[in-house]
Amino acid sequence: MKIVKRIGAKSVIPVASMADIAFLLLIFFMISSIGEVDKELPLKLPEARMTIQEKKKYFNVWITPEGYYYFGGRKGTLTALTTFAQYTIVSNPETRALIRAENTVPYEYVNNALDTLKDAGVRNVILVSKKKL
Amino acid sequence: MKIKRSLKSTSEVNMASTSDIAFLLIIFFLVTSSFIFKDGLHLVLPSKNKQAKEVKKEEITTVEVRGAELITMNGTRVAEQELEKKLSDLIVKDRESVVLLKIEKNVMYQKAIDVIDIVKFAGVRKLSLKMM
Repeated sequence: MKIVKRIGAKSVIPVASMADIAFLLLIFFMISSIGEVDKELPLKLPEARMTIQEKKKYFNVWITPEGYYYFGGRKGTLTALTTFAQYTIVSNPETRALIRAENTVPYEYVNNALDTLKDAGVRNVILVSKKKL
Repeated sequence: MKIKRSLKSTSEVNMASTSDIAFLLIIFFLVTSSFIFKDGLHLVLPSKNKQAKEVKKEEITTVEVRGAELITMNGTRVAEQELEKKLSDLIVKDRESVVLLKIEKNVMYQKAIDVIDIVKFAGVRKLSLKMM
């Protein structure tokens, strides 16, 4: 008996839903990253060997070469930093403070920020540095 | 004359490239969002509610950083490499050694980080920071 080959049937993988999945992922990444948006300041960070990468929830404290402090997206005084840190710590005591200071600033500015954070009840501080190669 | 309607042809919008665009956008967002540095030296600050622990003066190793070049260990001038070796030896003898790091207020932040890095690299677990 002769078997007749069917040529009419076409096999097609439907890819129309791929775009939906991709856009859903895109929206997810965009929304989940909104909470971490922070105005970044162009600073030359110091370098160190013993750096670790922070993965827990954190907030940034920027120290500019002029000695200004920026946190929560705006410039503020050390008194305001105490209030801001206390408010952040209340919601999540494990929150880390990331100090991002220009490598040329006097240590005094960093020490003042450390004292303020300590008084506010922050336990974990990261002195942000680039990995020394 | 009767015109025959063709039922076989269907109109379709090609959506295959939409997913390519979307995935490209995802990759773009993933790559650009990873630029912010989260690496650094970890410090655990003392709790303000906890009572300060008293340590005997003899058990404390004092490291002082004055200016750009001067580092002293228990009053003796040391070079950076020498400091690392001395602190490592100290830790080998006693893992719980306490190091008090005094940094002059005008010292450049990079210098302060260099010394904190040395102390951490040597394996010191109990570090106290003080500004002069």
